[in-house]
Amino acid sequence: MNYNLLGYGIFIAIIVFIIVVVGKICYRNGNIFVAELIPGHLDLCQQINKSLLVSYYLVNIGYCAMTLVGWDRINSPLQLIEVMALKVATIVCILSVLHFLNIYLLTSTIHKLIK
Amino acid sequence: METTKILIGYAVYLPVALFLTLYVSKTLFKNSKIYMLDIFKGREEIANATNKLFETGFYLLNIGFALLIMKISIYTDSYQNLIEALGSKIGGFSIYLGIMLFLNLYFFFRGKRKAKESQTPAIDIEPAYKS
Repeated sequence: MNYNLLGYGIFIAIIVFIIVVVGKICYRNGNIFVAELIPGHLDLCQQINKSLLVSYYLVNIGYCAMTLVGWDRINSPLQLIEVMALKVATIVCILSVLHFLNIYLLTSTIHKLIK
Repeated sequence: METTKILIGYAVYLPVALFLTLYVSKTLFKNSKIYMLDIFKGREEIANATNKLFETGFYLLNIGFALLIMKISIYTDSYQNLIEALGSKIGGFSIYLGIMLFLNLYFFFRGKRKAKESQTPAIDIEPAYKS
């Protein structure tokens, strides 16, 4: 049994799940911010938001797939859990930093727009 | 034999950390809506959207940190060591959560103060203009 292969499978599954869930939440709640950018063209703003969502998926899932290179050799189920937790945690922390940066930019822009 | 004890530790630590994160963010973001409404001058849809986005970020940050510090290493294989290690892990995590909670509260108060500052000149000028 090769634990590395099992680890890659579980890692990609977890990460894709997290990224898709977070992307859906951001898409649903981000519509309103994007709609303020070009007032009066709601469908145009939704198209912009959709392409933003797709590029978000591409960048994040691509980065996660790139980090598959360079895992240590995994010899036991215990080590598998530990390595998995560390890898997922790194990705989730990067995601949260990007997310907070986004919120900061959005709120500072929206304050100017609705003044 | 040592393996099983560490696995027991993980099985205790992960649910506790997840439950703590869930509970804290539920409490925080149920009460933060009022601040958001104040910050965004009563625009309810923007306030709701920002609140939801903040909640997602809070979950991501805290669950990420919980997983980051998960690794338990005990040298001698005994329940005493396991419980001590678990205690320091869960204690450290809840102190971190508390700091995060206060940081978030600080941000809410700062946003409220800033919203008030940008509003006061308009209120002050208006009566003078009318009279």
